[in-house]
Amino acid sequence: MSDVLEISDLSVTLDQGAARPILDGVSLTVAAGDFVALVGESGSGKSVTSRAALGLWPGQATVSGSVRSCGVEMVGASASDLDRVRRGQVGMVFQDPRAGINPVRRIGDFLTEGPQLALGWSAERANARALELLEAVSLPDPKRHLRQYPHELSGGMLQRVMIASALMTQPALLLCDEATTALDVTTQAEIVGILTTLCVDLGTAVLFVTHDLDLAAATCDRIAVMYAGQVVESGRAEDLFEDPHHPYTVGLLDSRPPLGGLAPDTDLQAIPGTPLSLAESPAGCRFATRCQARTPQCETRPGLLADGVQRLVRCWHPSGSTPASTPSGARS
Amino acid sequence: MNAVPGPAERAQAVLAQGVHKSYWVGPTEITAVRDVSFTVRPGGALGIVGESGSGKTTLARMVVGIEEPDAGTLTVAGEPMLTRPRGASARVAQAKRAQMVFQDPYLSLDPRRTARQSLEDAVRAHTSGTRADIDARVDELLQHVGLGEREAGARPRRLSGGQRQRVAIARALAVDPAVLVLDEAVSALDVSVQAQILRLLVRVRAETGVALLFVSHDLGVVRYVCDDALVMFRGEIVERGPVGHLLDHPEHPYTRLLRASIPQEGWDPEAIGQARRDFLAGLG
Repeated sequence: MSDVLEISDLSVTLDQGAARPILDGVSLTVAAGDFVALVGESGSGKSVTSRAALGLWPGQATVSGSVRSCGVEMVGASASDLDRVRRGQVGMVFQDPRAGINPVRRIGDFLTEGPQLALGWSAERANARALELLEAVSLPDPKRHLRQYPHELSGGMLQRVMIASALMTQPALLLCDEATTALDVTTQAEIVGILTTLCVDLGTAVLFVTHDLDLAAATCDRIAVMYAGQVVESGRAEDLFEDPHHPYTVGLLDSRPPLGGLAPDTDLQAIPGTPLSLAESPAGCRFATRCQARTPQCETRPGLLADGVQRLVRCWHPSGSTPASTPSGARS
Repeated sequence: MNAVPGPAERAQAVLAQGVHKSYWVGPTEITAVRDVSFTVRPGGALGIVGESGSGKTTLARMVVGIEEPDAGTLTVAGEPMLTRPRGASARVAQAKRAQMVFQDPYLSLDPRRTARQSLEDAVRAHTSGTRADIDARVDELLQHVGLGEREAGARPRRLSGGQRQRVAIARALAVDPAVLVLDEAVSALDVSVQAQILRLLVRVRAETGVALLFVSHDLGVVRYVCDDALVMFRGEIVERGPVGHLLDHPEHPYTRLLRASIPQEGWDPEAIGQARRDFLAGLG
């Protein structure tokens, strides 16, 4: 079994208050040691998808499809299966370290408690591992940090503690949900560097959830772009970035003001309209209302189809097939 | 429109000279802004770039009069901004000099007022026109920021983040201010919506001649909106210049670090991490 995460045709429907499923037929695989990014805007379903790997579902929802984490089926999993995966095989780093760490316990206790209680590690083994990881995440004084409380560390330092904590048991898969979004850019760069080096060394695969397409491309081998609960395009990071095929991916790339400035006589291209709310449930393509390439065909649902090497696109008119009708801008 | 000829400060939309601000946290004095000087010309657009704790938000708050400097001169359209202007007419006059748009419009808009009512409140406070005049001005503002009839009649919780930010911008423009201060005003928006608001800001500036003071940590966004920018680090300006030149040829080590830290082609987070540690170590 070489895939640490295998999501197939996963759908999640809230029992109340939503006209469309929050996840609608999502399929995604992460191979052992792979770095995969899940990119999307708020409400796209990227966080729900990543949490599915831990068997964490939204309250009062109906789930169908399959999620296999390290070979264990998480849809309808027994408590003991959930425990097995959550305790040692899949780790998670959230956006806000202060929300995920007990403020009244010392850093050392926070790091060592889980493996000791859940996996029966000795205190010596857990302490040694904690010290080793705090060094690996480049904290200045690991021995002292073990005795400190969370409030004594900055956000960037605390996020390193969270990374160390998620890697204590050397999981096969690490989920990072906007793990560096709240950090300053210089800190973000440093932490992403630490995270990638460490995961490569440990052979840990990473599912990197982010709204930042540039960060995804700079960090990951593969990218899946989500919109309104569906994967709309996936492929190798460099292909997707240099030659996006789905109009939404094209629009996302053109929406970012380039660091090097716009080309002369071009302007920033915004995607018109707003992301699909949960109250809207178009019969056809989810992106059609905002898409400048739409045709009557878009009133029927497009499937996620192969479109080049290791590339899937959910669109009737992917770029390349009808170049004249795709939105053009600074990118050519 | 506010470029009244006269003394030097009257010629500038914002003039800051040797501005200083510190806070006391228990027994410790923390300097948020140290000896900062800059100008924004009428209709100009200045970006303030920096990371958390750099003092950029404190500076923005002083420009709109939420805080006052401990030392130095800070004038907007030629007059100092006070935290407590005396009397109603002084308050109104000050509000016409600078308006602010915050990061989270959900917190800055009245949850019980519709978009139209919020704008009416702002227009009525600043004009003595008839009902028809006020309605016409509100319609003009709504159209200006691209809000339709449905959005105009909705309360903030019924609006998306981008729509709320449009309302906040329209409300700020209602008084025809000399300066619009935007503190991370597009940071919380999804990129596709952020691009709409950025285009709106550029258009509003061109059409109304309002000067922008644009505070952001996002260098690409600052480059798009602003003519000039200054880079702040630990309360001080470390570099300034025309925004294109500043980003293409950064000179200060901190500006260079900031520029390199942004995920881009050839991004090497490990080298940046090392550069960051070296830079911080060099400060002693």
